Amino acid sequence: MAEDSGSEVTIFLESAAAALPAEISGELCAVDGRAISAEERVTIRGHGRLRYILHVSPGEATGTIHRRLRCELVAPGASAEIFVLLHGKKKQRLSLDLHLHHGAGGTHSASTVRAVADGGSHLKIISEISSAPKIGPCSAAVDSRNLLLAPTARLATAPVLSIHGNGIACTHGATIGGPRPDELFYLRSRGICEEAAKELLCAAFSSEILSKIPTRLPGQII
Amino acid sequence: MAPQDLDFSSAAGDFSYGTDYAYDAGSGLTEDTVRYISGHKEEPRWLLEFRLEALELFRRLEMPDWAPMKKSDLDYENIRCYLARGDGTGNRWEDVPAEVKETFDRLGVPEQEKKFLAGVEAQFDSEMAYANLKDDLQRQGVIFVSSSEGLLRYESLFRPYFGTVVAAAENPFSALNGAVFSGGSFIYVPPGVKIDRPLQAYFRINAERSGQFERTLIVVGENARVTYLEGCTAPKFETATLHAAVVEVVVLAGAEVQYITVQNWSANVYNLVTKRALAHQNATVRWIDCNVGSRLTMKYPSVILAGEGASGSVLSISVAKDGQLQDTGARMVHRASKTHSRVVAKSLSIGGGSAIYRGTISMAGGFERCRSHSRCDGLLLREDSISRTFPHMDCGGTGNVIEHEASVSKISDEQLFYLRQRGIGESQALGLLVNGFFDELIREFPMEYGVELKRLIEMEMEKVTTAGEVSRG
Repeated sequence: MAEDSGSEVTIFLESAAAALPAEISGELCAVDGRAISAEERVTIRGHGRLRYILHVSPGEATGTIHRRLRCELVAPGASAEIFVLLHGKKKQRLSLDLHLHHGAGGTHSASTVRAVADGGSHLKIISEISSAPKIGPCSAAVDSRNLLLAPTARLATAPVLSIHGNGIACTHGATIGGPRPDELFYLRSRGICEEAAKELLCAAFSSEILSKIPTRLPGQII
Repeated sequence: MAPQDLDFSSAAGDFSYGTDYAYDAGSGLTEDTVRYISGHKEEPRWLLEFRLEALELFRRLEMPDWAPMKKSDLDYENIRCYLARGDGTGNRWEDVPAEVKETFDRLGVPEQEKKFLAGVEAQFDSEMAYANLKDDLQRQGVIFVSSSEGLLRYESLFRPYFGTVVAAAENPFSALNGAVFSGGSFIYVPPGVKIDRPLQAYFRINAERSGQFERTLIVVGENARVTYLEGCTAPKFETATLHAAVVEVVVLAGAEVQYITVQNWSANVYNLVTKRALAHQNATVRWIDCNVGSRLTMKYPSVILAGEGASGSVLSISVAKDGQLQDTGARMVHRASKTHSRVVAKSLSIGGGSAIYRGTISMAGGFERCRSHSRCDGLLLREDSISRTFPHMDCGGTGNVIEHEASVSKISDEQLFYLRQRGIGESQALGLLVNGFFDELIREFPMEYGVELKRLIEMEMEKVTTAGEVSRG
């Protein structure tokens, strides 16, 4: 079911019944392209490493998708790298609730979130970093950038930090905005129409996450 | 002004004199309490009705789910909502009763007035004891009086704005304030008048088991400018004291307001304050908010950017020591195109103190070219210190941009080592590093306040190192 590439195991979650493992103690890369609502909880044990790439793009489908992921890093050496791309169109409602909890010193997490809201879509992103009291040094970072492509689209983000004790160094950055006028102008001045220019910029914006997806091999799909 | 004239240390306000109160609404919160206050102030019928409606709202409203306290955490039956000596408001310090004057003398208020202020009000429990404004400003039509006097003498200016920026129904404590408010300032700056020196109000709670519910209304005419400072202290009592103020600021087109608060209540005070400004076209609002005292503070100065080109900023410093919870932040509501907002919040958690930042930036669809930048940084000094940030950003429309950044960190061992190996003692090194953390904000404070804040931080660091409260990972 999964392919071992070096010491890292890679899995592709594609069916609605698939799920992330509840516990991780080795190195796992999980690529999740399911456009469904799901709520998952993962415990990462000592020296366990999770690389999770989530891409939610419901295409032309309408409706609401709510994704919730809680990662608990419970022993020294545990780490998580989370990459998320949400792409909403039409009247779609997409939400992400991402929570990384540092339960022990010597743990590290880094989350990169990109969201694109087009048409009349509404996207909501909650990203939380929390830490248990009195733990040793550890680090956490969230980088959330969100692109508004249409005047009727809407994006909301709530980057929460909840830190107990002085063991954790934690940073968070979030932006919401449309395509930069100078970038649009550059493309348009080269004969590209506005719609195509926006698509190009959107593709470039998304590539930061999509480029993390490893090559799929037979037997990796769950 | 010499820096030593200001003292923000927690001991500065920890004294009280026995005082006889001619007017006491008694303990508890009933319709009779409200009627007593309104009757004593000889208020018009509409205001009594406003108060009674607010009392009903207070009974019905609950705190929001996210609040760090419940409404029932306070014993309202045991709080005296209105206490006044009945001496009226003097406009010369010589006319102020001896023990009241001595209180403000010890706090340095008359000295500050002489040296750098354009006007001063001093509130003692529920009523203003002193109010004075420089003659030249009076001649230009500036009004700086207590809110009760503003209502009675200037109703045509007061009433159209009263209750329009902060609704009584907003939260239980804005409702409570609506029911029993007394004191606070009413400021009116006529169009085009630019006041270069600050106006200051000083709020003092003197009595045990009491509440202070001042209500401040500031109306700044087109292209006018004013800076308002408020400071507050109380002696430390065993029982809880409640401070639930409402501040409304109306800033008309092209006007500028700077509102500076230095909150230094004693550690038994619940400081639950609702502050909001309404900024019209091209108006500028700047809140500078410094919270170092109280047991619990919940305060989120906000600006409604209602006119095109309006801008708002909140600069916030909070220091949470053992047993304190500083729940502060900012709200920026963009309701017009080309509006700009900026929030910079820095907090320090010492010992078991807990600092929370809550921020809301809202840009509804239909508006264009709005920008907002917010930043919050927390510094933790001990392994049981707590720092939390709860920012919320909501954006629609075209060409609008919201940016937010946050960090939580501790004192760097490398920085401390660098300073110590150059012969600087631990407390001084800590003071330097913490002041460095706050420096960007403190530089934007009026100089007198910035210097004293730095001194206060150095004093706190001395206490921290003496108590061995810094832990390093």
